[in-house]
Amino acid sequence: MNTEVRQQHPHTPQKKQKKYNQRTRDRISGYLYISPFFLLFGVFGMFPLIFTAYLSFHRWNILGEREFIGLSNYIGLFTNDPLFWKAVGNTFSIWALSTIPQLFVALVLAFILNQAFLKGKSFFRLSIFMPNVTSIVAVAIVFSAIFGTQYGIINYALSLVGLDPINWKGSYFGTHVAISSMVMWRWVGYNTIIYLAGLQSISKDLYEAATIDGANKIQQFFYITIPMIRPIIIFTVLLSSIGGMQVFTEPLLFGVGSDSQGLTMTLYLYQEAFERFSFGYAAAIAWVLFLIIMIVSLINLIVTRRIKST
Amino acid sequence: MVRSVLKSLVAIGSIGLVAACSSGSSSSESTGGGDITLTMWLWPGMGFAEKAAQYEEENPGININIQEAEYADAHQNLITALAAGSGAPDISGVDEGYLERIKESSHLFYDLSDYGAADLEGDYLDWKWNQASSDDGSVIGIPTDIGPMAMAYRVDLFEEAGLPTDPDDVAEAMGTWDDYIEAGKQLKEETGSFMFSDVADMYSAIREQGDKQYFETDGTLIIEDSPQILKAWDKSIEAMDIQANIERQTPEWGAAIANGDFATVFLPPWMLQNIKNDAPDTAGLWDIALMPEGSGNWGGSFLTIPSQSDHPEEAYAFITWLMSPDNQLDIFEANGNFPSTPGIYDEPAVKELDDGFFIRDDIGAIFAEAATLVKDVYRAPDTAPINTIMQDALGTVADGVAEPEAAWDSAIQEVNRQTSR
Repeated sequence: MNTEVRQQHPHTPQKKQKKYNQRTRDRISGYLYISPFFLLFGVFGMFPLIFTAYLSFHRWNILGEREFIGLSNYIGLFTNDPLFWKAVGNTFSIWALSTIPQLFVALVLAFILNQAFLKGKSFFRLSIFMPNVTSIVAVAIVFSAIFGTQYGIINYALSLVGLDPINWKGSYFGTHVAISSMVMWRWVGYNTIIYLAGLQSISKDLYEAATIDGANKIQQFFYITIPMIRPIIIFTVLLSSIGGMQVFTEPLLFGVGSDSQGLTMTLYLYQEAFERFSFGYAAAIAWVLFLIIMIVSLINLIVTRRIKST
Repeated sequence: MVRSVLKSLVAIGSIGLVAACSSGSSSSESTGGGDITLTMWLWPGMGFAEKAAQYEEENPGININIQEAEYADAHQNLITALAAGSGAPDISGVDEGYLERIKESSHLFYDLSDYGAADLEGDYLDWKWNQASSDDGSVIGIPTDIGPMAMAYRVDLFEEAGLPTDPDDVAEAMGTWDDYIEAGKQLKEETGSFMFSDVADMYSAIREQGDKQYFETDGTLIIEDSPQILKAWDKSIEAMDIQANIERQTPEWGAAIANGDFATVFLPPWMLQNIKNDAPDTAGLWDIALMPEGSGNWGGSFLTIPSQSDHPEEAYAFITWLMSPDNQLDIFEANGNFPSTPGIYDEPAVKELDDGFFIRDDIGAIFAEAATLVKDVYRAPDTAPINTIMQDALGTVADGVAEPEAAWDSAIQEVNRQTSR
């Protein structure tokens, strides 16, 4: 076929192909090699994003006609939706209650796991990661039993020491603590493993020198370990912030409570789309959620820059 | 070289596309030789597999391909396939809880009255048939099982409290919700146990007993003047002290029922199993009577034929066979799904159902009676989300977060906001 083409059109295609030198060819094939990512991202990343933006200007119950309503969804969301702002507040509260202790505990655990004296390290490292790969449904069922108001283990323990039971499912404090502890349980191991990788990149000489100088383990932790893995801490804080804005399964399975005290932003988005079938409104929520996550990430970035420069 | 790279890219891409298509379009493919495969989407527990195999045997050339997904997933899959315009099955189960949403888009389903569904109307309970049909006579689905509600109660606790224990006496002594609340107060005083688990349960039970709930049939919101809703709310507030504030279908509920924390449960027949599972030690302590002021329905579904199906006639023949009185009886015997065809309620298999756990030996008869007491209730697509709002509002009162009046006001405000959007 090629020969035919060459005979019929001696100039056009032939000349162009000759112009490709090795450099251009490398460039083209380079782009082609990375193109699957961009194609997939375009189909499964960009398209939904743009379609969501388009949907957010419509009223649509998925099966019926799409009706263009301009900015109504956004106006409603910002001016007349107490439930959404409650969800925003809940999300931040649950995020703070889970992320801060979680990262601290993970750091301490990683430090312990990194000690030379510890036997059976791989076993501990594996077990600390287990909660992350355990079915979240199973986790939620177990935690629901632990945080039961009348038959839960924690309230039973409280009653043994003479304290009043906590209404885990009926109060803000109770629900937020219960959901946060589920989030924490699942992600502590994950962050521990990341920290552990960071710790192992710190040269042993530093610790040896410190030991010779008479610094104890706690001093070593605060004056060597933490400064050395600061970039990794910043990384985990950023990841946990983004993850924390998207907490979903835990409150869905634990229950949001009568006053919607466990309702998070993503759960609200889900309810609007799949329980009330307001897909346009849900799309508007999705975009506002996206903006909130962007703002949180930016604040993170600014704060961590400050920390870095000091 | 560029060309070969491009070629392989196209090849990879098309493989992906083919894979995507073939997983999506599972509906109604012929398997060759003139055989017809009917794809059927259900969720676990419907108990149709055995009957489908029987049908395949009796009708050579028809294959039934049952695909199950979890309850909520099954419905979301259907809605997604309908919205996408391809991928829907030949037959899909649709639960009562999703029916109103589906009916809004009835053009996406075959109108079964075109295939003679009207002739079958007499076989099924009126209220059940009406749920799936429209005023213009179109029929969207063939009824499957139903969930008529009755009241299970702990005989030992009732006895201790000095309340009647024989089912007929109980039904008479607690003929109205006021009587029931009075009895509950007596029970609480004498035994310390609560009368029932969750205030939302009572609200739903009373709400379902009226023929009108939140909307007029023309779609006008009447929640603030709806007598049945006002009654359901007021009685629930009155009953606040005799409910244990434990949500249904949670681990807590199981522990509480095993412990005898509450004495009555309003339930459809399918929920009897929950008591047996959670509180096996209470065998012989439970009896079943009618609920105060009638009955109500909780659960049950319909079999529909999405208009994407290429074999509506075959599908219709199969589902009407499957849901015929005789086969509903077989499914009831094998699986316990309560039939929607009153013609078989006098069959010994229904009437004399006795499982040894509950005291009375005619469990089927009491639920059959409840089934005939269920009223034809008008529901709208927004009914389900409003139920959640109202039940949550009662929950805030039970949790001590809000006073009854404030809870009512904010619930009404939320209902107005959501329905006006």
